[in-house]
Amino acid sequence: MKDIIKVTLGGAKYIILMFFTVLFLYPIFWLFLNSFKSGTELFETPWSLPGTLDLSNYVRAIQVGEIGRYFLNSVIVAIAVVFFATLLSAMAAYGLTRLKWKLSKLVLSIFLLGMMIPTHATIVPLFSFFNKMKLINTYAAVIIPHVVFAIPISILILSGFFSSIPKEMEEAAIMDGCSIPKTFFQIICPMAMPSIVTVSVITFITAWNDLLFPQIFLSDPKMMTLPVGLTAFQGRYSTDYVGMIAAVVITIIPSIIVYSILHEKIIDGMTAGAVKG
Amino acid sequence: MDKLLQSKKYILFFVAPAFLVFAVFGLFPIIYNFVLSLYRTDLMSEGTFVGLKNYSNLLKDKIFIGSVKNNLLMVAGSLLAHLPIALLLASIIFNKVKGSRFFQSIFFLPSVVCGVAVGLTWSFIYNSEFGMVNAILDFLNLPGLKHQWLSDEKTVIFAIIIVVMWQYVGYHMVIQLAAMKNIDPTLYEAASIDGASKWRQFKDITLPLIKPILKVDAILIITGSLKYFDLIFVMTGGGPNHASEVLSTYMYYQGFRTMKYGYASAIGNILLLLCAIAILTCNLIFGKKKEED
Amino acid sequence: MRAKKLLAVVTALLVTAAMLSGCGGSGGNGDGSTKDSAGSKDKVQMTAMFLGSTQDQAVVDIIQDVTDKFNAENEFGVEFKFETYENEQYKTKLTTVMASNSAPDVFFTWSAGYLQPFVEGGKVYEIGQLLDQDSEWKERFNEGVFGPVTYDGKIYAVPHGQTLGVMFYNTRLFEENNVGVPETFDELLAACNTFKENGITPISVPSKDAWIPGQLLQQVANGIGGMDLFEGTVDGSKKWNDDGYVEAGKQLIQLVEAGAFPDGYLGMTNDEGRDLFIKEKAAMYYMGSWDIGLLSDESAPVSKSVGVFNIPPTDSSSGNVAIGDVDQCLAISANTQNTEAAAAYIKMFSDVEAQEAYAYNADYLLSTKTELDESKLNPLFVEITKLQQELTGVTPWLDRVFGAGEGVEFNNAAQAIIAGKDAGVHMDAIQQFAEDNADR
Repeated sequence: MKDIIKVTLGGAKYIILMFFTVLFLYPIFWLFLNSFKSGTELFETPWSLPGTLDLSNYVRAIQVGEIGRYFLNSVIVAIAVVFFATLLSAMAAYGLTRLKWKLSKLVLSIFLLGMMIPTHATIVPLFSFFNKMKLINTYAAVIIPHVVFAIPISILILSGFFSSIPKEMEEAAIMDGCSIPKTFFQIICPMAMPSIVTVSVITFITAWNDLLFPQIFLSDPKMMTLPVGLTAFQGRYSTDYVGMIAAVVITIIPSIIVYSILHEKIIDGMTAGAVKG
Repeated sequence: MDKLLQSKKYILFFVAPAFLVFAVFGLFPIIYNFVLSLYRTDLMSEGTFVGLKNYSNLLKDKIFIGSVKNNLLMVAGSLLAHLPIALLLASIIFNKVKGSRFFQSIFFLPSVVCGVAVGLTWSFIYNSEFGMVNAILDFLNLPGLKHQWLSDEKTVIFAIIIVVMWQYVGYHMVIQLAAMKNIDPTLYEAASIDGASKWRQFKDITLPLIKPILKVDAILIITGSLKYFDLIFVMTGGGPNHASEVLSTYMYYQGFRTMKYGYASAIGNILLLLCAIAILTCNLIFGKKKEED
Repeated sequence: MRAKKLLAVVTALLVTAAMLSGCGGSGGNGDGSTKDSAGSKDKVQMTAMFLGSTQDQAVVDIIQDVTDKFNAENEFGVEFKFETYENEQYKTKLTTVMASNSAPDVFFTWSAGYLQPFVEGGKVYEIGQLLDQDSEWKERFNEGVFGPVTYDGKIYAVPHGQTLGVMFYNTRLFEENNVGVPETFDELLAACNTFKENGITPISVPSKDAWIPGQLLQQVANGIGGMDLFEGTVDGSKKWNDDGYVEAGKQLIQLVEAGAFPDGYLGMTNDEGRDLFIKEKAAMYYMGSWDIGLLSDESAPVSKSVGVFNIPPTDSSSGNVAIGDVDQCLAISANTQNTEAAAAYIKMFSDVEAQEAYAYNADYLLSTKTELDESKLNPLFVEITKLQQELTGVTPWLDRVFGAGEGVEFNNAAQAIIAGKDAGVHMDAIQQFAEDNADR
């Protein structure tokens, strides 16, 4: 009897997983199928297999839509944001939880205040500011706001982790002659890899998907990021849907590849913390 | 040793960079917004000081009230959908299934697809004539349930909630899975030896130990739902007739379209207030971190 | 070890992206929009901002040609650099640069209510002064085209094209079903019934974008209250819930109940709706004249049998009024350093070459008196011009006259009415919004 239940439960697990797999994959598969269709074919038979394997949408997306350039820009911005946000947040989280000073709780609360900021409310003042500093139309104008908005949640997660590290760690290192910064970078950070990776993933996704900041703060089309580049397929009175679809497919493929590769790293990074001393 | 930990030099070194960036580019705009909300201005000419009039106008504004309702629906819907489903999927994968790596990649994938693309795809899926949803309802012999999902004022916000769920459940699952993997496996070994069932292990070991991350995840979900913009802007623009308007899109409309920046800032501040309430509530429900140890 | 692997992955990512962008850089028009000519070091840089994406190539080409010519030939020692943006992005961008005092020297604008806030905010240069000084320039334009860009008696922008709202119809389907061009609204309704009975979608009105039912509602209102109703709305003497509008709403519902619109019209996008007419599945299609190119393209089945007429009035005393407006308006921002150079740049857009390109390639009716070679013109273009001449009045799109706010709410109300909601309730709502918004 127990075996039957075990098998059923085991089977149920797979059914659930497969259900969600289909749910998540189907729309992406649909995008892939339709990237080969022409505009009118899309409206006539959106759910059938394409008539021919026509690559013209892809050609158009790459040449006219310049999807490669937008992808590169998105990558540059996202990686820069992750790097700076994670570095600054880790340092701040450490300073707030491990170093002893009176105002630490107050400052931590001020940081956490940042989680409530509605990002679009900051566009006008930031635009004025960047304009005066001549930063409009530079990557910095897009990277800085994202770093700012990533800091609160990153500090929240990282400070949670740091406060759980036993104090003996630092004491031992300092006895051995390490300075505090050295202790931080070479001992504490490696231990915090799981949280750091989690924070990086969160920051990356938010920066990668953002539409509004690049749209407003960048004016040179050569610097636009992916979400903005996709809206360029919309004309004043007509939209190149199939071109847009091809562009999206082009960008999903590298994302899948990178995630599959990095994915092992992420899991390794995360499980490292499991065997805490 | 304590002296070292109190050294001002180090405190500045670690905290100052983040604080400076945050104060200049984050706090300053917020203060600017507070001040701006007390004015009536299009930012091109002199504004007039109107005190709290923008806020009292908001309370009478039907569109604003509708937006708040929509945001609350999104929060509720997202919490109900994301947390349990993410937890379910995470725990299934955590308990070692074949091909877990494959499943994880698939589930995470939607969150790297840009909102514009997600909006485009789902617009087709929801299409009342040839869309998947209505086609499936036909197949299941339920034609009465068919709707014009994105054009019907009654169904549009729910349709959008489902799309958000599609996009982000995997992302939350990854976060929770990471937290689960952080748990010392020897705890599970000990529990198994003691004869505890998988469910018991989940309830008594996994859940309590990932509680901090669940709290963070809940905060992410709630604040995300309150601030959500991209997908709605692309799929419906807040329509039809403001039925899917949320605070962020309405703020955008009143700011960047009608140029009533004072009024828009007031909306932004209400959004901020709602986020604050959400975070405080999460703290209350999940318990503060300090008390745990 | 781990760091190395991470580095490898990141490098692979960047390389892939670089390869893809490399494919695009040389072939595409990426360099197009920010071209620098040789010897640009000595020239003063001026900036311009236009509406247009890769989908509006004809217009972008005109801008590129004019800019190249100006940069090569002008005597001011000035070089213009321009940027183009997609619709929604353009609106947000312009609003932002206006609010932060960093508008470009020259910019594209819509007419009436769109430009008005900028004019009132003191951000637009009164280009009328320069027009008055250069009578050759001013004389190029047709009578009345400056109306929608005149505020307080002063001209603030120069329009380079015109558009008209027309009912495109399939002449073959009309003939086959024994339907004549309707001359009253009742005849239109009857025509819809006939088509419906014969299994043909009468009118394609894709209503996902609110402005499309909006323009239909406006045109029906034109046929009820004529210029009186329109002008009254503009000067405030008539309210949004005026009988004329409520009546128009009810007539729109009559069309809905007659089944005049395609299945799923509420969620149909503009492109889909046009596609329906192109594939001859719908007998009529109410849209602006900008679609001429797509409708008469050789690949379109309908191209051999397209005609136009103006939606006829319900009440003949309202005259023969249609929706129409000036377009491709360019303005100079108040903080420009060199108004004369900017004006000279704008002037080139009404040169014969540019105007011909607007007509032959971009399908815009002209705002100037440029002589056109009919043999090079799309036949529909000629028909629409004739239609235009028979009109007794023209009302610009209400969402342009009133801008964001009331204009958008009008469209929203139309969208709700075409979904079957009560006309009175929704017109009341616009009026309420207008009153509330005035106070914000």
